[in-house]
Amino acid sequence: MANEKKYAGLTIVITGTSSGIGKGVAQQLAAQGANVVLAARRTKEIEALAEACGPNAIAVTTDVSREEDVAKLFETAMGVFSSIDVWINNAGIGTYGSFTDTPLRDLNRTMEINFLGTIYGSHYALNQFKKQRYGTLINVSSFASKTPMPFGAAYTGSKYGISGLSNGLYQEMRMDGFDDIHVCSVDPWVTDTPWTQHAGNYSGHEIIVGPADDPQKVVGEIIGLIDNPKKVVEIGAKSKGIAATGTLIPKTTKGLTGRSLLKMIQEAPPAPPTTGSLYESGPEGTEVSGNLREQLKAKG
Amino acid sequence: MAKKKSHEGMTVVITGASSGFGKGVARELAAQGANVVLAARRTGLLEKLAEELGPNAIAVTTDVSQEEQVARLFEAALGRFGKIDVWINNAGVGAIGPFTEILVKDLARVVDVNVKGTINGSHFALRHFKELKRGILINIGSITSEIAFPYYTGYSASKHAVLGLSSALNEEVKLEGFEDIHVCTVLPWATDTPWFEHTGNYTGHAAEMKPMDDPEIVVEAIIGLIDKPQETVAVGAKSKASAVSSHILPGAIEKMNAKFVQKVIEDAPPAGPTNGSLYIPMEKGIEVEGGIRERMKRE
Repeated sequence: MANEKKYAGLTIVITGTSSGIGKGVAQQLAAQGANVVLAARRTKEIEALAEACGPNAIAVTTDVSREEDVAKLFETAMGVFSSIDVWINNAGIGTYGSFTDTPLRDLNRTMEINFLGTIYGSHYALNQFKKQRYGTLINVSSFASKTPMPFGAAYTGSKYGISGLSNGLYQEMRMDGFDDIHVCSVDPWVTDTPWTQHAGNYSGHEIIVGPADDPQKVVGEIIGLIDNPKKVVEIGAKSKGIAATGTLIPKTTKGLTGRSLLKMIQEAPPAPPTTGSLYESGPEGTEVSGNLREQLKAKG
Repeated sequence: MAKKKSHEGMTVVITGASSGFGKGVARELAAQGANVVLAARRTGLLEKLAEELGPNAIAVTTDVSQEEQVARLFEAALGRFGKIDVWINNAGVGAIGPFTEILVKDLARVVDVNVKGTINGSHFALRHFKELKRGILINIGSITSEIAFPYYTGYSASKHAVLGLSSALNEEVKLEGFEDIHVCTVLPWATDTPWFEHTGNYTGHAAEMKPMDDPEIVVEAIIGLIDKPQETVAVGAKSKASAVSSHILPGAIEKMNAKFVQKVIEDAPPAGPTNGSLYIPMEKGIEVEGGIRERMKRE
């Protein structure tokens, strides 16, 4: 393979690597020679992944909502590899269901992990990038950063926040003359990762929403940003459509999305309320893919 | 005055009522007969305002970032007036400067007050509104909800979050069949309120923006939503223009705006770093108006 080891010598910090998109990104980058710093709460998962990735991978247990954890992640990465080329704020979680049925602390916790976690990671990364005068910061947002998702209001708010943050930081780097510091945000459509197994869920139903993209598609787009940084990349036909129409005729798009979402919620099998992995990360959902596409297929 | 007592019997909770928009809205609504529940951290100012506004005003010391304090605000409002018709999440703080120059904890504090504060208020308000099957929730966003402002990045992102949250909530309550519950977001341009005095500031320059709107137009827009709820309302000529064009040419508008913001900051007189009123409320900045336009004229 011509591309083999093309990232040799690059150091990349990735949060949310115990499953899903983060794990997929880590696996590919390590295979292509990068030094990868794997962050997540699930120590065992990231240690196993580090071992699978080889000698240039380290695992740092991190809850991104805790500034001291992010500080430790940064210091460990610097201690081992002495520079950071790319920082990917990927860790994220959801709360699903009516806002008023969702405990208030769960809503705030969603904001802490997704939005504050991205603020913390961005701060440590950009401070270092400014010293180096180069670096690429990649923040994983969502289609819900442009089109509000009812029954996921806190999630939507967190993703609007992440995109607003990334755009502001992009502008700051340009204005301050840091031509080699890039800030990118990624807007995936619904993707088949363990996200649906980890989300807090008060909808009364299983989380079966679609169509769902293959996570490898998102993994590929994120890695693509390392070679070719872009301010925003929208992934999946659905996401692109929303980006185009969501901005120009927001009312129509929003109405359609909302009604079809409500129908999907009501059609899904019943499920008891759960905090998911908001507070404690459980053992379930450790692969890059989840079971969403299977569930959608079974539903027909 | 035709509008006099037009809000008689209505109970309105207003956060951030110790100065700025919140104080202006409280004064006008009280004059129009509403029961007003005044929330802010500055007890002295709130109590003075409640006294000024008469028997249908109460003051409840509240840091909106604290869930238990918002719970207490809600209980106090319900205890005194029996129901709540309108809840206005207006309290907001800022931290400006290059993102990496702002302490991480200051950025987190902005999110706590602006975003969690809005989530906290929205949760108590909407649970109550669903029992009543009616009610109006008004969240204060900003032009920076739609256009990312460099050097205001943490603040701007927090206001993006408020807009996303509110838009999703408005759609959600409608999908749930609550036709008489409204969630509205107000998007003002920079306005001459004490915000610019209270903001954390690491720009090296005094906090100001050009042009600055009169707070009265924002106060009117907020009160207008009580009579005629709308999902979003952009206030001020500049805000309206920017909001429209940002939908059509987001990149170009953001870039133009970025240069403009940088120039305004550089042109302002020098000032030392401060965390403003992020943690401890300040004694100054107690009126609806901030006097920033006056100060800028002198500069």
